[in-house]
Amino acid sequence: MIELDKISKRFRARREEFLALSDIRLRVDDGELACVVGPSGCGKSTIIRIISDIIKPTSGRVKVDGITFDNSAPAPRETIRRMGFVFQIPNLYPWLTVRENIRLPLVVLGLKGRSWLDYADYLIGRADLSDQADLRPQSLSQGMSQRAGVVRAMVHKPDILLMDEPFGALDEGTRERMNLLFLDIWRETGMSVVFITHNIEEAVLLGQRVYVMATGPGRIVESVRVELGEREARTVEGHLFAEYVSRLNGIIGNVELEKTV
Amino acid sequence: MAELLVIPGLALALWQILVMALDVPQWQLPGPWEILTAMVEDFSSLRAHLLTTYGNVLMGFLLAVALGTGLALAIYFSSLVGLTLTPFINIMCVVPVITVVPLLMLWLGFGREAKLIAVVAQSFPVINLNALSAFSNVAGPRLELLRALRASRFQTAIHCLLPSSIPGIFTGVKLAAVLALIAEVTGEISGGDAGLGAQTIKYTQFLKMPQAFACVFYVAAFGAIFYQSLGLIERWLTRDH
Amino acid sequence: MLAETDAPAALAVDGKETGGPMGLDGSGGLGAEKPSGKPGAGTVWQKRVACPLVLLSLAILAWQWCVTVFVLPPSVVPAPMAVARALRENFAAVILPDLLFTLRTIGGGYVISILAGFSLAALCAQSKWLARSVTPVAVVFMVMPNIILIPIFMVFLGFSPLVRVIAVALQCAPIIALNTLAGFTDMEESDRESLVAHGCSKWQIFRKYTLYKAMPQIFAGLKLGSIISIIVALGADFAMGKTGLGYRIKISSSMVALDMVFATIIVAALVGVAMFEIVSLVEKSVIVWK
Repeated sequence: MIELDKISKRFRARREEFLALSDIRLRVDDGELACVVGPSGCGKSTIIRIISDIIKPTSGRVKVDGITFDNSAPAPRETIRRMGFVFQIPNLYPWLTVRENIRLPLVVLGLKGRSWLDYADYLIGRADLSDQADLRPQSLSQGMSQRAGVVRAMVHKPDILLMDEPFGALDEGTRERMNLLFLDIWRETGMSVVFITHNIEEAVLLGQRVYVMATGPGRIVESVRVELGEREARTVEGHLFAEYVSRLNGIIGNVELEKTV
Repeated sequence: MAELLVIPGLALALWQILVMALDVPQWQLPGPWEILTAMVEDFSSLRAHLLTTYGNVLMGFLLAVALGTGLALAIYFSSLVGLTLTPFINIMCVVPVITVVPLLMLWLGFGREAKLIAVVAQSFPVINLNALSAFSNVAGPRLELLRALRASRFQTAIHCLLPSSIPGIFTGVKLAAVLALIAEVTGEISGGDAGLGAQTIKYTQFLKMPQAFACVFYVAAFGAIFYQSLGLIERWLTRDH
Repeated sequence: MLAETDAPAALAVDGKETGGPMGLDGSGGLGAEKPSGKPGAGTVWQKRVACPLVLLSLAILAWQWCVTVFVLPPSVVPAPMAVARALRENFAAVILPDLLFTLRTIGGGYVISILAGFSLAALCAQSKWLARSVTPVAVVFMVMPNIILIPIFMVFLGFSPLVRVIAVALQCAPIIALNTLAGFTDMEESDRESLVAHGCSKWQIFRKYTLYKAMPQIFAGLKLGSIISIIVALGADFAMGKTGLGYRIKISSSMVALDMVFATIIVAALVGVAMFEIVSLVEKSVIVWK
């Protein structure tokens, strides 16, 4: 379980200070898929980097599975290594093959043995990358690269998956396919997921809970529980789906309105 | 491919023709053919010196690569180390390190140690500078993956910094090859008997010109092959990307 | 003294780009610039001047301390004070003439290298065939330590200062030539096409575009050449003796006058730094658009 308690983050650049996040409260239960939506620059990426301990908060507490991170020291290695991180751009290493890229976390974390390698190959198959696995990343399309990035983050069977607008750079059709593929894979694993996106439909499709953020400074305005039935959950066209989308749009609209007032 | 050989071939041919036509005696200026003959015939007496020169250069060079890259990693990961060492290494890049060769020979004699130190000292700064620059230019996103996995500094170096920096490192490495050769030969002509540089002096003193030129050709050939090999190694390391 | 290694190098026989030689691409001075991603402490002035000065002073103090505490004999390690004294007392009479002689060697060799290097590059830029044929020869002369030719030159020219100048020129001209050529030929095809489409003549393209684009790479070659020219000049002094800064170092060490040895080494080091800085300053005043 992930808990963010009154997290704030101040960035210092030269003589200027900039409040990126203010009083963030967030909770993700075990096995839950939580989405965070918000406009660009509201600090969504900062939030998951704080969870992943890449950035330290200025104040507040990060609690993962009962372990509170110390804001002045690196978080415990074992906890961080139970997380996977999917970046906006996968940045696969050009000197490794696709398969070696995907297996990289196993190498870094020292996870040896046939079963791990087999699991990596299984994920490669699920992501439909078997034909490309022994090629270099330069020959992959954007969609393939991103699939590789997602699978790479999962190869060490993390309990928590952090995803920073993973499908943001893809075209509409590819993105929808990715969403459904990801849902399938996610259901097999039972990971807790924090999914950052600026796309409301994606958030409603994937998330069981959607946090809405506003900017200036970054804060969470509301969180919405999304309950879609099994059938509804797999389409972006259902009636219930549209209701959730419009509700979220409304929230964001109010925020925009507040800004101009 | 053929054009690689045209100019050298023509030059050598011209040289040989001039030497024969003008009937230049061997003890003045031998032609390429005499030089080649000397290279083959005197090989056994030159062999020890070949090993000395080639061996010192290669050993010093490899030490310089290890030291230069290793220090670059240390500087990259520790600002304290960087602040302390970088000014000195910067200066060492620019000053003629071989000025200390007579001093080293005074302290250590004419043996191998003095020359080795000179070679390493002249070569490693440029490797260090280029390696450090290359490390610092590795894009942040590439490193973020390893940070998210809590990779150790060693792992970050092996899995990301070094592979990403091959071109930059090799720029320094190729320069170091040039400097290493110059440092070694400078050491050889400064004192002692060992090595192709010293032998060239010895042969010219006795006006045994074909042998003197043979030494020069052996050095030139080594330099060319060494340098080309480095280029090939770099191309192999960066194959497919 | 360095920064990004984006500028193409010219050290490969096939002209393949692998990064600026010595990390010099026209934007460096003396003093490491902390790169992107790692915030440097303090201002530029602090890092480039104050920090090295402090370290230098500390080093000298440490040196003096070692000499006194360990009672090192002056025939092994001279005290800093002794070196300073030797420098002061002998500069005008002894060191200066040698210094000037070596400077003449360096200067002559360097200038010839520039002239020859530029001319060769200009010629090769006209013809790909010529470039491909000349480059390997230039590389061989660049990689080979030309000092080894000095004994042979001496057979024909004796102790003439020309021998030293030729050695320097032979070593540095290829460096300048290859880097200049790389600068000239590294043109974006799209840029060239658009210039041609605008009706620019070959000469116009060269003057207005190629020359500017090549400047960083040209200066990379000039800086590298300056460093190598002093190395070769000193090596030539070692080989030929009689005069020159290198000779002074050698004779002082054979007389075990270590204070003079250290003093002349310092002078030589300063010459190296000065040369590099001068070329860098010229570069900064020429390349105003970086």
